[in-house]
This record gives sequence, structure tokens and C-alpha cells, in this order.
Amino acid sequence: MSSSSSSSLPPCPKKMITLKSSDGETFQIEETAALQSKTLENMIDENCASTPIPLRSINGKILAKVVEFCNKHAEVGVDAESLHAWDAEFVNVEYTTLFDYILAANFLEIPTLLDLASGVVGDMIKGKTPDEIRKMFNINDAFSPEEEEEVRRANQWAFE
Amino acid sequence: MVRTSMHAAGRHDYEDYISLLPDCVIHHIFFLPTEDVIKTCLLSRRWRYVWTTISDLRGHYWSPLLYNCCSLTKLCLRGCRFSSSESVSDDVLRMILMGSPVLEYFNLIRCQGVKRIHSRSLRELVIDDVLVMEFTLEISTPCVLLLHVRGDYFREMIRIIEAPSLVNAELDFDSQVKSDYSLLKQMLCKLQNATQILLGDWCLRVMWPWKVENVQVSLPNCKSLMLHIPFRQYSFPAIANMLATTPNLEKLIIIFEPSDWCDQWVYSLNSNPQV
Repeated sequence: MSSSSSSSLPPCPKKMITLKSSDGETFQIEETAALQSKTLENMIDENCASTPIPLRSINGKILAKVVEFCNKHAEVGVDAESLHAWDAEFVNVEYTTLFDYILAANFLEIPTLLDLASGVVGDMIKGKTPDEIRKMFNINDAFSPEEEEEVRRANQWAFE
Repeated sequence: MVRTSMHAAGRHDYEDYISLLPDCVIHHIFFLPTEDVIKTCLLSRRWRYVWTTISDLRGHYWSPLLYNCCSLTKLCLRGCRFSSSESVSDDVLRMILMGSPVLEYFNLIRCQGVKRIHSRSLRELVIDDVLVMEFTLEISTPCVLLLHVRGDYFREMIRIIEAPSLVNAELDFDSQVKSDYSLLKQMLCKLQNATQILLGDWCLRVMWPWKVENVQVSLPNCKSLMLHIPFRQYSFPAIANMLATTPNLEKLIIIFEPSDWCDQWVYSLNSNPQV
């Protein structure tokens, strides 16, 4: 949409933008792929994408994966089934990495990645007891038995 | 919005990473059955109230926690029975509405025993198949722009107490309440500012016996009128009367629909020698 208007040059060079991770790594991404991120789209629209964009909340390891995700989802001619399989493989990672994906997708506003990663975490929670969830995610700061009983009582209707 | 310190500080696998996620991110994970979402309040102190800040809460559960939902903007209650004799009194609904100061959209589906809907923040109120049985349902919503009431039959009536901002009104219900023209007149008077109006069976049945020159209501702002009525002889006088009440009408849509109950009603009417 915001591609250059100099259409007289036939081999139009692909517009690239540069992202810089919290640990100083830089990544090149095609503008068309970057448009999946609403945050980046806004920056491109406002002509703020000509210099490397610093992303202080995303480290290089995660940013590389996010760029890979955007590139895959910008590919033309990928059928839904193989994309689905690719996505499943993409989120077949440790849960801590899933949270990094979720945070990055939330910051960059990439709904496809946010839904994908959140969905996997949601599936991990679904149907589990609080104890199982606590163990799975190392959740500390648990209630004392008395406190838990009180919370349980306050929400009795949901536990019947 | 996002905590940046998580990466900067470095992370260890034994850390309680999920609890560090901001609430808005956890809400994305909460695309789950309601029970699973609410159970997370037992996880830890951090999690106790996270679910209560979801801005779009669906489900047929409520609890005292719903009495203080300062960020709830949409609420849909399905199949709730509010009654003074049951464990859930109609006070519950009053408390929920009082405790939701920014609630904009409220949808009641197949609920029973609702006496009163009072909210200063509501913009849209949709009432689907609510059983209005023992009490009149009073609606007092000063900021509401859209009010849709749909229902097959009411034993009691709805009463619009306050809705001066109403733009889009749908009163598509049938009722066994007698054809009381003053009731209808009161109701139509509350639609003075509405530009889009849909009227259903009861309204039109009450409307039809009146002579055009005796119709004392005027809806000057109504530009679009939809009438949802069974194809019966009373329909046409009712349509004529409605046209008389809407002098600035630009669009008229009439949907005829068969109705068994109406069959009987018209039958008894026809067998009455006075008509």
C-alpha cells in the first residue's frame, strides 16, 4: 500500500526495514512481512521506519523467531494445511519461550502470533486443577490452606 | 505496557514466569471455558483477581466478585433466574450493574424475574427472550442509544422509565397483557428521539383499533420504521396508524410472519359480534 510510486523502474527493489533487539542484534525484514505487526505498520505509515527500530523488550533470540514467523505468514501460495503444520511446529517449544512469543506479539501487535501462542498456553491450562497448573508453571506465592479455603468459599459457585 | 525488565534481568527456569505477565496478556490466554478461567483465582495471590478484570466476560456464572468490575464493558447473562425466593435475588442484578460503572453493552438472554435494569453507563441494552412473568420490567438507562427487546410472549409488560438518548429502538415482543392504549402511548412517547424503530406484534395489535385521526402520538425523528407483524386483517389499520405517527418517515419495511397464537386471537375477535 505504501510502496514507492516510482513505478517506472521495472525491478522494484523490495523495501526492507531494520529491527534492533534489546541485546543489540539487528534483523532485516521485508516491509510486506512487517505489515503483520500493527505497531510496525504504524511506524511505516508515519515514516519512522527508515532507521533501525529499537525493540527494547524483545531479545535477539525471540526477535529472530518473530521475524521468521512474519516471513512465513507473508509467503504467497502456502496452503492453509501446511501453514497450520508449520505453526504447530513453531509453538512446539518450552512454555517460557511461548510467553516470550506472547509478550513480543502483544508489544508488536501481531494478532496471528498472539492467538497462536496464547491458544497453546490456554490448552495447557484447560481442565487442569489449580495444583497441576501451579506445578506446570512453577507458580509460587500460593495461598496458605486457610486462605485458599476462603477464596474457594468466595467463589463456591464456580467450583461446584 | 509490557514489562521490559523480564529480559533485562535475565531469567531462570525455576522462575514463576507466567505470573509476571501483564493482565492484558493473561486475558489473551483466558480464551477458555468460564470455569477454567475462574479457577485461576486459586493459583496464587497474584492470580486471585486477574479474571475479574476481563473486559468481555461471557457465561452463566456470577459471584460477589462481579459486584466490583470497574473495567467490565460488555456483559452477557444467559439463562439466569432472578427471584426473591431463589438463592439469587433480583438484587444481584442491581448490584452487578451498580458495580460496573463503565458497562456499555448488556445482553440478557432467556433470563427470568428481572424487575429493573438501571444503569447510567449503558449504551446498548439487548433483551432476548426474557420471561417477563410476575413483574413489570422497568428500564432506566439515561445514556442508552440502542434498546432491543425481543420475546415471544410476556405475561407482564416492560416499562421504559428513562431513555432520553435512545436512537435505535426495537420493541419486537408479544404479550398477553390487555390492549391498553395508554400503556403503548407511554412506551412510544419514550421513543421521541429515536430515528430507527422496529415494532412487533403487541404494539401493532394495540394500535390497530384506533382511528387515524385519534392517534395522539407523534414520532417526528423516526426516519426508518420496521413493522414485524403477522399477516392478519388488523395489520393494515395498524400500519396506517403508524404512518400517521411518523410524519418524517423515509424508509418503511414491513415483515409479515405467521403466528399460531395470533390465529386464535383473531379467531376469538372475529367470533365477537361487536367487531
